[in-house]
Amino acid sequence: MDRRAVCLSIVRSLTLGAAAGLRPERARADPRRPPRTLAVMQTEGPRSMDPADHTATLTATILDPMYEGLVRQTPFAGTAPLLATHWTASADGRTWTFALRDGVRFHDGSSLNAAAVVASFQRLINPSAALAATGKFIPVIASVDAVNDRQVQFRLKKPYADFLTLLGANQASVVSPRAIESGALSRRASGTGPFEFVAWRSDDSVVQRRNRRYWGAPAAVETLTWTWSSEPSVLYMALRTGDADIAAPLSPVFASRAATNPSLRLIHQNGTAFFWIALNTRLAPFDDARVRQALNYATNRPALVAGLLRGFGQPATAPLASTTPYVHPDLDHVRFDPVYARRLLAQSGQARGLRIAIAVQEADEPLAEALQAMWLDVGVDLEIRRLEGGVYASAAFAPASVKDAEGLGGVLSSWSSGIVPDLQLRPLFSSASAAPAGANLGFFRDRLVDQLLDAAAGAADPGDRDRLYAMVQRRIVDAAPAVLLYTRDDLVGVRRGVSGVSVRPGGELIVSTATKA
Amino acid sequence: MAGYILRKLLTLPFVILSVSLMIFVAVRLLPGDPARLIAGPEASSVAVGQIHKQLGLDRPLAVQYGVFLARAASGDLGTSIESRRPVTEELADHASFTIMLGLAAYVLAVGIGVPGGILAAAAPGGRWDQIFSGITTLSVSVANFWAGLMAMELFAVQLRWLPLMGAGSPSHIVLPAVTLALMPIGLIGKMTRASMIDILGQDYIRTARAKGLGSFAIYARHALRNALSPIVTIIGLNLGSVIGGAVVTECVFSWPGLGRLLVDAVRFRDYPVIQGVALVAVVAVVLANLLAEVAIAMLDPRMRRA
Repeated sequence: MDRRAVCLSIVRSLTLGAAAGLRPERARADPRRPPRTLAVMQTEGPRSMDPADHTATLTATILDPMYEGLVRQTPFAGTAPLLATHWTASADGRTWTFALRDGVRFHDGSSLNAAAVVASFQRLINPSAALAATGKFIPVIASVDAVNDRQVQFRLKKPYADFLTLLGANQASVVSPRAIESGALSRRASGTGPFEFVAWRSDDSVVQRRNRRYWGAPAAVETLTWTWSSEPSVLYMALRTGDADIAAPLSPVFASRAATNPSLRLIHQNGTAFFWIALNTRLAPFDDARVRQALNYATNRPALVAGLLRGFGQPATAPLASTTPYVHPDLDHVRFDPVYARRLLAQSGQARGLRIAIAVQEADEPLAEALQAMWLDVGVDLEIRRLEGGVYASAAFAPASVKDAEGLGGVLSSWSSGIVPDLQLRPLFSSASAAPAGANLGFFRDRLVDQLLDAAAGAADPGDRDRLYAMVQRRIVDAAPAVLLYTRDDLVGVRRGVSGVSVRPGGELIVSTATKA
Repeated sequence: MAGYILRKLLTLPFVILSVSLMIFVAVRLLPGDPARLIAGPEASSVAVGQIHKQLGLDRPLAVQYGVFLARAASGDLGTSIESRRPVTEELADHASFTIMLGLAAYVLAVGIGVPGGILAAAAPGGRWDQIFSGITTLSVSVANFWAGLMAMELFAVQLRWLPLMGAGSPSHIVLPAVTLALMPIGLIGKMTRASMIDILGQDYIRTARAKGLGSFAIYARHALRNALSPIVTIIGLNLGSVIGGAVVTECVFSWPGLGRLLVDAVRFRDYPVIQGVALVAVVAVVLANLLAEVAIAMLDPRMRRA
């Protein structure tokens, strides 16, 4: 998104909006598309057909029907068996043994056995494999071995309470060893899922067809087609013409239209796409916690959600999304209080106001502009450095020396952790993941936070974890290494007659269970 | 004539070589690191370094350019960083769509612009001239993406006459081709009108009229042939802007051509693909200009000696 998108949204509200009301929507039966084909449209195409080589939610959505992991994360219902039928953990939580399901075949005909699982995971913990998802698994898994043909054993580097959740991630899918050897996995998917790969035409579409040899309940639709467009209005138009049966993620503008359109249905649930500004904790005056707290108190989060997201979001109340387990809303400290913000600034010697420059991606510019106006009220002059995506990524992950030299006080960013608190708090706030090594973009360093994170990640007892996560969140809010903003809701447009579509916390769409009338 | 074309063709490799160096440097001057974009925000800096090495980005620029040239000479433009397919394969997959779209747009632009301009020049200030001026002014002023979205809303969503997007059937090309043709229709139309008015005011046309020639003979044989030079020049020069317009148009209509490939490649800093697409575009523009020069030389013998 860029300036173009901004002018477009104005034009849209003037013209498309008026035009949209002219005529009731009629579905046009597309003669080229046989019935029992489900068309899904997203805002970007897949990065790879190899589940280990991406970390993008929208890629996970496309790969999900074709691949399966050892376990499945069911929305809001915990872990269920998938390719593993049952598992046991050792008392110290470091050794996990999984028994594999019998009679499962990969799409290329080879059968699922322990060697296949081992081969899939060894890539993920091999640092020289240069696969995008290794960063998630290397810190956790020490080794993976076949006990026998039907059993696999994982040894962990440390006790990790979220291990099963991690195994439910799309990146932990079991892939055909034959496909790994062929080297073609990045272009041709080969898993065990209810749909198998047919074609990927780059910049056009991905086609999948029902897996006739699937071990579980067969899918209801024959073919799944995936297309994409980065233009939000095109997604909405495609839903109305029937070019897409499902479109996601919808922008808030079109989500509110989809909600009132009689031929469409809006799936709307709390999301995990968390927005925050990492403050450069090494650069004066932001090395003073009071200044960082002041910026938090100067931020009117409900107004941001109402104005920018049209209400399709949740104001931040903690450093975790409201859907993440162990979140502890802290309404005493994460609140809008400009008077207190001004007092904090005065106490820290900034009574005459201060200036902060932040790096912002093009798409997030409206958010930065809203903050600019809000912060001006407490005497903070926000300078927006709007950067194109690739430039932004370099600036955001720049080391402290570069950011200090450029006077960069903060980075406006977003993160989607799914439902593992450790996968959000650790990369964002632990000192080991300070940029450029990780996504702690403000170089926040706090020994207590580090210790609490380790303790919480390893605690097996849910009560202990809850207590530890409460403490670490309290500590982070106190030290204020970031301005917490909001989480965006997951918004999916679905045509009437299509059912069985759900969204995993984290925004990943599940369409393999969908039916179409 | 053959010698003229040959001389022009001989300069082609030098043009392409110097342009390839410019593209190579410009692409690497783009801020942003492909390895970081591939690895994603969750990757460690070690993984990013690994990818750097794998892609050969850790080597000196001169070495990278040398490798690129040596491979390019044997028809290998490298491997896409994002899709890990040969760039030549990616180009081949997408080029036919862009050629189709570009040709359709050109046919529309010439088919509407040239006759429209001639008719407007026949009676300057007349009703048709005023209407045509309005159309051409509008068509060069309207932004491609806006016109495209409006056309989609009207013809695909409201009226349901044409498909919304994609490239499945012949009817799919109509909306993107018309959108892409808007700018050249305006330019070619305006140039034809101006050039024809200029020629029609010349003495030899008056002579032709005076000796009793019919207006078809005057327009077709005497006026148009002389007016064509600047028109052909603008048609040739326009290819560059049509390619530029194709980038936007293809993205709006999800048309799987080189433009969409390029936008994605820039987003992920997919250097080999950016270089490949840019190289194809440069060769196309150079060839189009050469063709235009040849055509002008054929139309106007005076140009052959130049």
